[in-house]
Amino acid sequence: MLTGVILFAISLYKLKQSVDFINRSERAIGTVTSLHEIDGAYSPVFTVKTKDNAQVIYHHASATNPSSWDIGEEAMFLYDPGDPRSVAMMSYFWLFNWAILFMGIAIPLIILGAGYYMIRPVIQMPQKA
Amino acid sequence: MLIYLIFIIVGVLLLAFALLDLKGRLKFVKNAERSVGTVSRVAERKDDDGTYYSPVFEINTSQNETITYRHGTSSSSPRWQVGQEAVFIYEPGKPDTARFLDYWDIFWFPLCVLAVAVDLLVIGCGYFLLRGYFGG
Repeated sequence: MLTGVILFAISLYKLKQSVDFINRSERAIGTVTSLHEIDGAYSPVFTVKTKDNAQVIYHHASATNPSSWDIGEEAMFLYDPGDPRSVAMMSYFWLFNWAILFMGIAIPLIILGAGYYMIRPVIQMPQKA
Repeated sequence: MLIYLIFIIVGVLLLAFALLDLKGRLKFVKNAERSVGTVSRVAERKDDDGTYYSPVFEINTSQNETITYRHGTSSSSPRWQVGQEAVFIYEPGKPDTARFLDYWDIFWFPLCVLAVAVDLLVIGCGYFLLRGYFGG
């Protein structure tokens, strides 16, 4: 349960980090310029044009076969103007992935751990008088 | 968006199922009888991968009946020895309800379903609560 509470706290911290990043970020459009093959699966490589016309290359972490992206397709990205390399795809999972992951592990640990302490009194062997 | 809606619907159904199952098991634990069982023999099962052992318990009930309970989990080395004791819980008159008086043995199923349900609900509801941040 203790591990669950720690992971829950980390998840909330990651959530706050993601929200802060979104609040200070600029939007930019990225275009798929190539497909990177990894073990027979394809992950898109985007070129993201920032507000001051700089180009940032973004390698997407997800690879699929067949490819879910075609060359020339576009997607919306966010980046911190103070750190243009901090490009993130503008979607629920890719912005909040760490918060979701930590929360997803924390919840079962808390339920199983807290359940033990709540249920333990009723699964004791009755004391003999 | 549809996938997160499905997460919420499945989560609600699993939550309801888990809570009902949990309620039934809590009722069972509150009303059932407890007795000490003793390992009467260790059953062996041989297959291509080797020999597996599972303990067979004799449980004497308060009605002077004897329940024979074979542990469902086998191990490659005998973990139980003849004469070892464990506490069991069972509904009087229903020997097939006998099981170890153990948190994990009794409650693992509804709690695991509950954990999956809450995970689905948090991820699904998270999408709709946070969509203002990513324009979903």
